[in-house]
Amino acid sequence: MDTNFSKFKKKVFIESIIKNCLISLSLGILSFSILFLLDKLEIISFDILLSVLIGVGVLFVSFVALFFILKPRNMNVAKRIDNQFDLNEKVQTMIAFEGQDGDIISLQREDAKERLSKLSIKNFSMKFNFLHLIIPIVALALCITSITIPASAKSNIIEEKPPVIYDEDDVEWYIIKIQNLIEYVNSSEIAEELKSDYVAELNLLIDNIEASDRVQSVIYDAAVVTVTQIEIITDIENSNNEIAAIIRPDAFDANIVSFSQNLVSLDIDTITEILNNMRSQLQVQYDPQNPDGQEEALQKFYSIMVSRIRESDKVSNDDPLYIALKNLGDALLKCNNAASVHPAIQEVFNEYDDEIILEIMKQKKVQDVNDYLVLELSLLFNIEEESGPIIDDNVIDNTDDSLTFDETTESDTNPNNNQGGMGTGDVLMGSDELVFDPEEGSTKYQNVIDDYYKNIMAKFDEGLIDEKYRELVEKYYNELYGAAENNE
Amino acid sequence: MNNIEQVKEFSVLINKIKEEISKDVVGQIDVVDNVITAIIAGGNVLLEGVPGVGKTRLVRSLSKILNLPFSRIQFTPDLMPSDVTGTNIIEKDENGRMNQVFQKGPIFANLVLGDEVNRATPKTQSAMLEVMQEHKVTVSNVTYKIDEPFFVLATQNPVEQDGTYPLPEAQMDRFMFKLIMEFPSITELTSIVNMTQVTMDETANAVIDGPTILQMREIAKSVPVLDEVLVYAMNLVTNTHPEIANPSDTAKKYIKYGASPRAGQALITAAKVRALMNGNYNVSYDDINALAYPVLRHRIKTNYNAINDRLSIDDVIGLLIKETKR
Repeated sequence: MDTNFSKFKKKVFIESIIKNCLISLSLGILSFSILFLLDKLEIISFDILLSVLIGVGVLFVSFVALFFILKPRNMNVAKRIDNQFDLNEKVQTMIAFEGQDGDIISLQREDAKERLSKLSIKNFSMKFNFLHLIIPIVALALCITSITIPASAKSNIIEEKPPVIYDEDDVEWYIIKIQNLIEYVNSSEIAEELKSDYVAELNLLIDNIEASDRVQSVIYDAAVVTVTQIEIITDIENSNNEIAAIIRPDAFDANIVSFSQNLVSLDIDTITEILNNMRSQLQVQYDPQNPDGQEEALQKFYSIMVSRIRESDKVSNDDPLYIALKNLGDALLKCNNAASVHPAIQEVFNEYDDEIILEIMKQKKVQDVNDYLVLELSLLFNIEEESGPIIDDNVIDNTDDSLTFDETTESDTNPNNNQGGMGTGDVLMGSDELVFDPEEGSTKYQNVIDDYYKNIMAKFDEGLIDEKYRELVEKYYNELYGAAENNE
Repeated sequence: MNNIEQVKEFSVLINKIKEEISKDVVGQIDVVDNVITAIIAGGNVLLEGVPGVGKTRLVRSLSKILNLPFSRIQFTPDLMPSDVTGTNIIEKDENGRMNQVFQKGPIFANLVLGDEVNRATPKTQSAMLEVMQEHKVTVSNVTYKIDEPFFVLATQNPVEQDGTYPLPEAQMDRFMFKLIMEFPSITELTSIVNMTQVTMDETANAVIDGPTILQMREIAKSVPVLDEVLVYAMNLVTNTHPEIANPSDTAKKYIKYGASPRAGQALITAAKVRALMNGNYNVSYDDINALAYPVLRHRIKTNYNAINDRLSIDDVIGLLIKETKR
């Protein structure tokens, strides 16, 4: 092999090594980047180390393969020399007829060698085409993209974790705590029937825990249902919120406004004071010279306090508080003896005040038991505060007896207002893992109401909730749907 | 002189020939080069040019330089084949007896100029063309060989085609080259006039002889040809055919019929000579491309599309060269 030709061939060999490195490195990086990107986008599942290993493997395999493919052949080198230096195929002919004899062939060989000797290796340029530049750039760009692109958002929200299983001791501890709550209920001063309802729910919770195979999520769901049921039982038993919503006029009478507000919070002392004020007010309004005015005053009180309750189908006629208020109103109507109206009013209030207060006290006790049970269960099972919409008493429409929702983004953490079901105060935003919006941090109740309904109906279907509450729950959600549609 | 020295001397001799020719023929560089190439390669040339451009002078000058007998045949419509080849005549010998003697025709020369061959009848044309091919004459069952090297330069007048007998394409194929002798430029014409004012006779000197030409011919045969170059030449010839499986675009559009295999032989044979003439010892793509014009222009028939697009035969050959991949 001619020495000068060897120099050119060596340069071409170096060029091929550089090209080889560029291409094989690019292929390796491309392989890794594609696998890494697909894994990040959760199209496939691939360990990053495996991706790196595959990339390295592709690099080595392609390097070896390209080494033999791109290895310069003598004829190719000769062709490049002839083309670049315009040698009219001298070098190619020399290579093609290497080893052959003949006068002209020898002369041709000598001529080619002589021409080669006059060429400078520096003028022989390495050739890299467009692809040798583009492929590494693309590979690098893809690599940077795959590294910097954030992982799929879906995996941040819902990740399937293996179920957490409680130890037996933990489960036993929960059961003991619930049994303590049962004892508390039984020792409370609420009605026996109500006690039975609460105890039944707590026993059902114990049964569900025992049947849960100690799975944390199952136990948690059962506890949530129990809390909900306890609150429903309380709402059914207590009519204070219902009555308060019905009787409150649009800032007509300050006493009645105050009465309805404090009726919700079951503030007995204040209610007692308000009833005294009502009595004083009625006595003041009585004008012996104007019997019609008295009539009017009494009629007004009666129409507000009693007729609205009576006309509403939201309160049962058997409700004790309703009966107590109705008795007060009916007795006041009978005070038509002008001469004795003051004592008559006094007598009526003396008689029915106690009745009303007694009922409110009963409801207060029930509410206390409810609050205690809900608080304890929430602490025990780490239940986050969830509530449905609470009626804002500022937006109640008395003319059509409809409930309206005030959808605000403020959460009301005052336990006195967080009654579950209906209540006064601002609307609490519902939250649900299935519809939680990680970007906003909250959601409108309209967005979650369907899920709440479906969840609770599912519990009914599974038999986790007593069927006797189904109608009530459906009625409750129907009202919520109606109010939500009105809000839209 | 051994072979290597002879090979090295090849281009020197050629340059000397060209130098001597330039004393008698002004310009026409390509024509002169190709004529010399054809002589050494063993081919014949069809020369086309208007009267007075130096066709006869070129051949006369060559005959002096190459030290070879020269004859000129002026073809006319009444020229008979025997006028070309020769014929038997009755001759009285010294004893008074009548003997039949073969009188050699003008074809019996090393360099023959066949002027206006298209004026001869086809029969007479055939007689000459047969001799061109066979290098021998057969009369009355007696064969007379023509001395080597034998070279015919036939001419055609591109004007005055009326009453002529154009050579058929099959006959044209026997010519290695078709060369076009253009009208000289002003400068060349001035030189011609100045030169011929001194003397009309050829002043070139002998440089080589017939045996040397034959040696050069043999040397040229040994010039190596790269396979890629050979394939390229063959592809070039094949691309002249529109009827093959995958014809070239040029052939499809502009060619009626393409070149025969003789074109391939002519290309390579002439390319070898050309390489040596230029001081190279191998055939290159440039040699093939340069010789494509004289080799193919009389072997390809263009169609109406070429006429419509105002493409000459050389233009079409140029397109073929561009289209043929190396």
